Amino acid sequence: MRKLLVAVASVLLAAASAGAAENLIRNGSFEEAKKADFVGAMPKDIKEFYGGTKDSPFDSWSFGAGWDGGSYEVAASNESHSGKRSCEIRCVKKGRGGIACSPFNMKVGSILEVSFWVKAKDADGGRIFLNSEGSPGDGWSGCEMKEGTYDWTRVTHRAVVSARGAKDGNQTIVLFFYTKAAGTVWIDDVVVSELDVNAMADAADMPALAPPAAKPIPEPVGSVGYRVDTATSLDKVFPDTDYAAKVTPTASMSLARNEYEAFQAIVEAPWRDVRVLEVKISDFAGPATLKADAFTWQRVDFVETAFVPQYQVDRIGLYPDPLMPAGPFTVKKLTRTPIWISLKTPKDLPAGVYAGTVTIVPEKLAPTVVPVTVRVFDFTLPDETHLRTMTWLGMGVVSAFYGNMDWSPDGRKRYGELMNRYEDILLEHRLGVGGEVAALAPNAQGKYDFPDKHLDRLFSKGMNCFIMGTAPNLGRSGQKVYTPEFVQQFSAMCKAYGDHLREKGWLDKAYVYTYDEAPKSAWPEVKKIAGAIHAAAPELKVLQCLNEPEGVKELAGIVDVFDCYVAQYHKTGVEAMQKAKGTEAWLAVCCYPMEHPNLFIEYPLIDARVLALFCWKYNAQGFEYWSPTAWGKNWQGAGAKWPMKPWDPNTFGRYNGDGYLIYPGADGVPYSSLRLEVLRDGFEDYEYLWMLRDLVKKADEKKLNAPEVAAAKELMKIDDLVKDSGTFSNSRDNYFTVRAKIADAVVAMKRVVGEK
Amino acid sequence: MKRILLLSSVVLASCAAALLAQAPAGNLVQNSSFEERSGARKDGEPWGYGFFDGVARSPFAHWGYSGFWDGGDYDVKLGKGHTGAAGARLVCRKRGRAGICTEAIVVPMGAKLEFRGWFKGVGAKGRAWVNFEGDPGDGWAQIALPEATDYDWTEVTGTVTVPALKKQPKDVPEGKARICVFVYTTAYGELSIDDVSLTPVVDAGK
Repeated sequence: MRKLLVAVASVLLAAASAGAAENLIRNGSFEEAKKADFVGAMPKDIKEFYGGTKDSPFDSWSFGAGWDGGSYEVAASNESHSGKRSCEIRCVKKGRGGIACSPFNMKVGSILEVSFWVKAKDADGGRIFLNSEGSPGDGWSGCEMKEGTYDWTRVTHRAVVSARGAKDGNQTIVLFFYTKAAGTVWIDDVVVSELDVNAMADAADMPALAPPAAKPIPEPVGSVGYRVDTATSLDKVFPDTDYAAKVTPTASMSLARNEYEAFQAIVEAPWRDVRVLEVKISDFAGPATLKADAFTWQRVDFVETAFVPQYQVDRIGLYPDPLMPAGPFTVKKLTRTPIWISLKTPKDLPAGVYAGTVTIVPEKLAPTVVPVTVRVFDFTLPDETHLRTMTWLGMGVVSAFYGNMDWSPDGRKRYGELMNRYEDILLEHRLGVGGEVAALAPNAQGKYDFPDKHLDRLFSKGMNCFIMGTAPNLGRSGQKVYTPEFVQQFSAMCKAYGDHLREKGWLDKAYVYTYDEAPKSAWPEVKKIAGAIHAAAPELKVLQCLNEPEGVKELAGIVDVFDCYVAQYHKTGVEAMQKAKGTEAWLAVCCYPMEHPNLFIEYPLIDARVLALFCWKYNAQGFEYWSPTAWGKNWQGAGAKWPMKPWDPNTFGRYNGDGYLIYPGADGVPYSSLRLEVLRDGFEDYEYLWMLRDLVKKADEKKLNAPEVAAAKELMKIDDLVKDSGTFSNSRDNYFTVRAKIADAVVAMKRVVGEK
Repeated sequence: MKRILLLSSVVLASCAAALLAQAPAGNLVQNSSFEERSGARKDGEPWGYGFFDGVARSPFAHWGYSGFWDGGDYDVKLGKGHTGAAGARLVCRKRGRAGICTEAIVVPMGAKLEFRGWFKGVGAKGRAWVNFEGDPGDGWAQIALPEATDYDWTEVTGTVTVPALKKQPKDVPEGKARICVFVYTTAYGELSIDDVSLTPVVDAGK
């Protein structure tokens, strides 16, 4: 009995000690103002962890005001979570700012537990995050906080202390609270402790995190047994979120001629499994008949994420992305399935409003008719895409997925057909596949077999640029310099290929790609190879992907095009080079940096749509994406493959959806994704602006001073969508409103300049 | 007095159950039934170093734990167990990846080993598996756990062969390698683990 009492007492004591653990940092509540020199008084080996910071207004906290070109202010705020004060970090100019706590020691293999409260106002356009630093290295652990505006929110983070960099089994740890966002962030009540695993094991049970599921709702009298709702092309519809009180089974969309646009019809099954047999689309009546065959439908499928990536996400679980072919499907009870209904308007369709229906036909239940209106603007989008777009189609992976590794004549034929299908789907989405039309080597006779037939096919389908040769990233093959033989052979190829392209009239579409993401040590090599290319063929454009300001300065005038990540644009100094030297700029997104806009699975669809508008805003001539088919492990292994087994969206690093926009469908047919569809919508929006600029130019040439001209010039700044600072509106309603205004301006300007 | 007798019989019954739950002969996994607690930190614990970088000590003797890989947050809790008084539970707070692992086990290269373990899932939507790590590399063999979200105690078995290493690791007897067995979950809910064994397979006739 005594033993039992002792055991109970031990458990209670353990639980109590777990609850009132010692705070390993000083002044976690920010109540105490600075008393003495903090950073300056530290021993040298610890001071180095505080590089770029100086003392803050708080005792035992330092503050870094301006990393990554930013400017932030820190202050004691009376907006506290508890007590009288909290730490307020305010953005003056976006970059990175943050506070750092007093250093503390922990043993290797122990568990760090950090708990704090955070609040934010207009903290948009950049990460807000806890970064564990110190002797294990910068960022050895950390967690993301939400962007936006919200009241005090508790955040906890736990991590095992790594052995990396440890001395005598101990680590010195410093926690940084960073913001890269605009707006203001408040931090309060930071508690750091070591987690006691035995106390955790014995502590009272708390329910585990359950898989997300919609809450059941009562079936109303007169129900047809399921519900149909609608959403725009910019909404991500999840299968497992709660049902809305009401549904709106009507839809509308607006578009120009020769344009794609879509909406989503959502089949909801709150009460029973629902088998959908068919989705019928009517002819649409209006100024003419918009035939049903201008529409297509696809089922939106889901991929499941399984972890918190390196960027802030609202949920882990199912995300909509793959677009599956039209055909019967089942909506499981307590879920929903969106249907992507896409329209491509004919070039000769008269402008005006059209009305028709989409009918959902389930098995053994009554059909639901969704009334749809389509407004057609009075202009026609060009087939040509004026923003240069490019991606690297990895046909090796595609071919391997289908097990087509046979190089017999038949195998080559199948490979060619497969490649055509994959190229075509990307070009139909105005995303050029020019990253792979290069790598020429002379044949046995020392001559080149130029890929004219392939290029001709791709140009006919809308490709507007391509890479004619790539000087590789030497670091990836363990080399340091381009050898004289390589320089000679590569520049000879560029000269021969360039001469040939000039004869064909294709030279203006060609680029030579040099040393991908060249580090500082490689800049002399970039200079060497770019110099050799220009010496051999002065007209050729050398495209350099680079995101370091120092490198941009160093290579300005040596390369012709800088390709930088959207979120790095302002930091790289490319803008200054565009203005001073007329350097061409391209934009890209990749896993780094992770700021919005990006194409991760978890990011809103407006990110995909706004990318082309960033190109417009920054006067960038091109957009590139590193791969549409980097499928990670999904293509590997024998046995069943997607869609027979679930798709793993984690194909690279700790990111979901990075490096692929299409999925390997059955029989070698690629399936599109929501992100690819919306990316195309963005490219089409770019064409609206291109047309508007063209019309404004014509009006200026004719010296027409109509008020529509000034209004159009104002709209062309797209300030309501993308700010100069790099933030953008994430309101889909605002997006559609501004787009409609641009469309109306195009129509008005056509009238002003007298065009039909 | 009656109460004391009752308590004694409970203790005896627990001991009997623990005996019944003992691992098969030749089990290379220590504390395979999770009956022994880890108590206070002891000198020489391997957690945090080498194969166990990123792994902390667990509440169970001879077992390591981390609940924080891939941005996740999982507790390790004392569970009821398949047999005996205790088992381990990994309880999801934030989805990511969590796991428990054995200490390093020295085995001959080329050895065939039979893995057996009992697992139970509650709301465990997501993937869980047994991952063999150590000198031959991370994930040199894997055994999948049940895919169902909810399942009662289920025995999972599999046979693995320790790969031959190109280079003999330092401090390990010639022809041998260190391996460790991780049980990972990336699922929601709870995964319970008990009665884990790893035993050499002796081919018939040898």
